[in-house]
Order: sequence, then C-alpha cells, then structure tokens
Amino acid sequence: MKIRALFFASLREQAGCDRLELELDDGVSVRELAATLEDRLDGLRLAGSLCAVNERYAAPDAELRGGDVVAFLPPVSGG
Amino acid sequence: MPGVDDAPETASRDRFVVTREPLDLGGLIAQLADPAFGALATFVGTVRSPNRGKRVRFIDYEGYEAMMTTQMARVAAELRERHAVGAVAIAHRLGRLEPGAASIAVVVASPHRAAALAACREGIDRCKELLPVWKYEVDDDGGGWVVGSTGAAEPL
Repeated sequence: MKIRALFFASLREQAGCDRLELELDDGVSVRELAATLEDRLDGLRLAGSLCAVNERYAAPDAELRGGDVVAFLPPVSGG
Repeated sequence: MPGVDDAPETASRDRFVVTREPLDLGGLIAQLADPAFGALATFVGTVRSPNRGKRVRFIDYEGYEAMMTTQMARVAAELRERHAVGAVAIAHRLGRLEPGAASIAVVVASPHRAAALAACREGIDRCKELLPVWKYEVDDDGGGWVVGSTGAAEPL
C-alpha cells in the first residue's frame, strides 16, 4: 500500500525533506512506519513526537491504510 | 447544564482562519455578533519580548495548515459541549511576526458572560495543546525551536 509521510518544523530539518511517499505492507502501524523512516532518513529521530493520520491525531499503534497521509509533528507550540 | 437551552443553534457562524496577514479581530467580532449574544469574550495572544530574559527579534510560525482548521473545529465542538456557546471564532497567523504582533485570537459569543469567559479561557488552552503549530524564536544570540506540548495525543 502507498503511504505519504509529512514532516514539520524540526523533524522536517532532520529529514531533509517535507514529505516522502512509501510503499509498505498492509496493516503497518504508525510506530512501524516511524522505524522504517528512521532507517531510511539518516538523522531523523521520531521518539517523543506526535503523529496525525489524515489530519487527526493518532496513537502510535494505529494501523495504517493505503492512501493515508501520516504527519510527524514535534510537540506543538502554537498561540 | 443551566443556560444551554438559551444558546441559539449557530454553529454555522463559527469561523476558523489560518492567515499570513495581520489578524482582524474587529472582523471576527463583527462576524459573530448577534442580538441573541449578550457577551463576546476575546483572547488575543501576541509575540512576547523579552522572553526568558532575552530580547526577541522575531518568531517564525510554521503550521500544518489543513490540520489547523480541523483542530480549530474540534476545539469549538468541545466548547459547545461544555458551555452555552453561541459561536466561536479562532484565527492563527503564520509567518514572521515581530514582538507585539498578534499571533492568535479566540472569540466566543454567548448569551451570557460567564459562559463566554469560561469558554474563551478553555478555548485558548485547548488551542495551545491541539493546534499543529511550531515557533522558531530568534533573539540576539541566535534562534531555536520553542519547546512544545504533547498534550494532544500519545507521543511516539
């Protein structure tokens, strides 16, 4: 299945890009996707960050589906 | 909940704004105003300087714009569940802001002041936890990402 990963702020800097398209096995969790991304992108450290699937906050064990947009978000500091 | 029945069904009046232009507080208030709402509570957050003892030159605000809007709508829905809220407007500015510039506005309209003030206070607190926004703050010694909150969800 195809997944799009998005990176913001300090994670975008670490990743060296703001998005990445990946082909993954069905049923992969957010946590497993995070590990795959850390393997692929040198310097990316996702521990402690938040994630959102299709613009909604998601738990690390959330299961992904084809076409999902998974955003990796540093702790937020708006306002 | 006392007073809830007084609140008109006006969720369609809600306004959620992400902009790179100066925030238009007067415009938001005008959009929410209604004779049924005897109270309009507003909160405006601005870029503070000094911050932690250092003179701030500017803050670059970055946001996940599509998700900001969905989270603003979530905040409004939460406020409506808990308070006699008539209408809610939330606006956040992105880009480079200098000290004193307004970065966020929360406006709550309600038939009565107690509900308007309580919901406005709760609204800005939830925005701080939920809106996917990041601050890169630059002072005379350099810049860095401002430490944020993970109150929105279980982190990795």
